[in-house]
Amino acid sequence: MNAPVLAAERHDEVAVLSVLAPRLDASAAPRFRAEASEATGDARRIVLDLAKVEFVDSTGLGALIGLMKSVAPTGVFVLAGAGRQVTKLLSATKLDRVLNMEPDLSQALSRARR
Amino acid sequence: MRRRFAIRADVAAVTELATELRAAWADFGLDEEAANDLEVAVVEAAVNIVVHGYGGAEGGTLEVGLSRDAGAVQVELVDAGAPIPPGAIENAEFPDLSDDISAIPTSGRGLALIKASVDAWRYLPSAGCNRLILIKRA
Repeated sequence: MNAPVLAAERHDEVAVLSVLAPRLDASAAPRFRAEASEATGDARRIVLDLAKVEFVDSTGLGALIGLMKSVAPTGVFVLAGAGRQVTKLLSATKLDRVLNMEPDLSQALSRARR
Repeated sequence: MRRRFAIRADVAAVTELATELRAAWADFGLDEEAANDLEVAVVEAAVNIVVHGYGGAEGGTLEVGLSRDAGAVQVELVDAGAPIPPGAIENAEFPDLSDDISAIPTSGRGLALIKASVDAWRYLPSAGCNRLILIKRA
């Protein structure tokens, strides 16, 4: 249960956070918040890669929104690699209207650097 | 086809249950989208029971029963925590999104997600035994 939820890398000024856990849910959200906060530091450009994530619930969604809000309004937040369940969740909750989303990490990085 | 699970009411147990339920959705012959929708509905309902029904207190239990007939899957969640307030499910909506990202709420979507993920629901609260029934056509 103590495996890290996130892996973090810096690509120049962009902090790339890759979610390692297959589920970003109420169990994982507290550690996600703590690890994301520590990993992003003062970065104003964040890419969150969800390619390994199979399932997100509303608590995980809240943690993701919190990360997006942490760089608003001047920073950049880009979501990469959302699968089918996550895409439907973002659509149902209308968050797809405010999120920057890209199909994979390289396109998300390009967008975050713009 | 029927399945019955009983878990302790905490979020880690809900995560374990959700993983076990995937085998049941497959046994019921659900496609990926129907299985995902039911997983969302059950997880949201169960976490709501843990966090609000039992207020995070230890010692609570939650029973989840699944049944499948020709046209639908029915899930029944039974708990002994505080009931969901009257009208809360009926009136649940996704929060409005403004252009001001800092104003977007980070919580308050669970009940609306339950409704959005199933075809029908019924809530039968009573003293010490609340039953939430979720129905998905599949």
